[in-house]
Amino acid sequence: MLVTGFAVRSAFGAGEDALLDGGFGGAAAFGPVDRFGVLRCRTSVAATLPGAPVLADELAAVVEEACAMAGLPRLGVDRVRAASPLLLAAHAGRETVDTATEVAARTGFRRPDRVYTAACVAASSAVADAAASIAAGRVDRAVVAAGFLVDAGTFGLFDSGRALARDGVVRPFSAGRQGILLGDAVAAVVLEAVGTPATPLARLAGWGRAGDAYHVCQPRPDGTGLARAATAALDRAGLPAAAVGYVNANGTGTPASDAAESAALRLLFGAGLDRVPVSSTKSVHGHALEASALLELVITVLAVRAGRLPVNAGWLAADPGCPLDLVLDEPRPARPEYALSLNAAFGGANTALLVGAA
Amino acid sequence: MTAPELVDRLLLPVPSGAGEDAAIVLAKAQWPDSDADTLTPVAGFVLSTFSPLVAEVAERCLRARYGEPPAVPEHAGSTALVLASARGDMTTNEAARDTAEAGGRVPPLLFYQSNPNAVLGWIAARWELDGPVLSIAPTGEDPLADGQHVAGLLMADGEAAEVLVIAAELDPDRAEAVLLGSHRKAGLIVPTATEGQR
Repeated sequence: MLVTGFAVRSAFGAGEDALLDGGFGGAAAFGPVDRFGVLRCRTSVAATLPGAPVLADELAAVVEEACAMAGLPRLGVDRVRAASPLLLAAHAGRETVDTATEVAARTGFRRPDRVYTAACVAASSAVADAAASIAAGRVDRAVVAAGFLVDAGTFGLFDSGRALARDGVVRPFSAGRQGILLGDAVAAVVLEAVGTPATPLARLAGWGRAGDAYHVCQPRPDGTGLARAATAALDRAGLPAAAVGYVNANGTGTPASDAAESAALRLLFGAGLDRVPVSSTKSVHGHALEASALLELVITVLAVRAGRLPVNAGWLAADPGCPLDLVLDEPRPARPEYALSLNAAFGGANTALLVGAA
Repeated sequence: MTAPELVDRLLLPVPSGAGEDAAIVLAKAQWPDSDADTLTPVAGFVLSTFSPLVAEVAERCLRARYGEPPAVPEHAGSTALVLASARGDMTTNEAARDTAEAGGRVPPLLFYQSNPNAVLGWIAARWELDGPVLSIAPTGEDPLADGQHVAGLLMADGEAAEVLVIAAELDPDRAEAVLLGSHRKAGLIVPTATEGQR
């Protein structure tokens, strides 16, 4: 499975250079929210794009950019886009399907095949389904796009749920971590079968999903669900855990989630975990909910390609419950052959995407 | 355990190359089931009927297959949950939005129920189903069929042996659920879909 195109927008701006220059170094993009009022909220910051972006416009833009990178013409002789699935990930709501339909129409796709709404694993689930369809020979390529723009309702929900970091900093796996902060993200990825004439930027070597069967919104503390998802991704690639040279962690910065993920990584890597660099880039771009997994997949691809691993920002001090080799202070030079991108969501949903160098 | 019973045969658009192109419906349920049908409240979920609606049809469908919760261990480890809803929990999301935009504080209980995955977590924990958990918004005319398509991918891809597919919408409230199984696992022979049905 080949990754042949991608496009991304976050609070760092548009394009891979904006992420590499701004996000990889650990300078967080959080700032005061001016998109709506936050006077009655406990937290007042998020990582947002400037101005008043419109989700359909941003999604259409990243789909065009990713398709251009992959060399997929809007109206080629075989009308390649119209023949390709377009899978979207976005929050479930009254306008969700209309937005997806508009994006498809504006970018030359027949229609959106469906919208994945599975919270923080929505985008990675879409990628997994796209990959499964390609692997089974049903289609040669698929385009996955995801978008989340911080809005008043979602901000209010996370604030009232006491999920937001009151100190205005996301500190994954660190002592003193207080919670998440929200961030805008819009991204698109083109996946194509091996054997197509496309030029690979990276490979999607494996994918896996598993449930916790534990709680409405809390992760299973022993991490077994997330570990099973990651094991499934490795098994699909026929690789041992030792082949993984970097983990882009879910790392939300919440006490329970980070501890559970650390337990999952210990189950996956055993004693070898001490030699696996880990970072959560939510510490710089925030949590983009339904779009987070696609943004983080792009970052994982960039890390594999750029030869440097992004910083886990906001770190204060070690937490004995999270004994990880975190990438701290500055990007770490490394050229991992394989890297894992992990995500977990409400409902006990866990996903793992295994990226391989091209 | 309730013995696997062939309730229906369902041809799925399972990808070619999977070796098998069909699944069986092991159980199914709907809400409302009659004009007098009612919903059972779900602890921790308030204001909206969306999550109770999903939980109700799931409960009916899983009981038809497994009896009392939890599900039998031989199935529980590979049963996925797929919720198909074009608009999701509009009641919760729009209440949160309206409150926040008016400068008020959103009720804390709405936090987790705002996402359709949450009630799936409740079902998964109650029935000890630790397969993949997924919510989708279908874009076509038949949400249940799209959920079944996704279920077919999960089974063909080896990620689940059984999948509970739920389709639910509000206003008017209605929901259906089907528990799909791999005929390979059940040892049943089911006709293979033709190419035109994929």
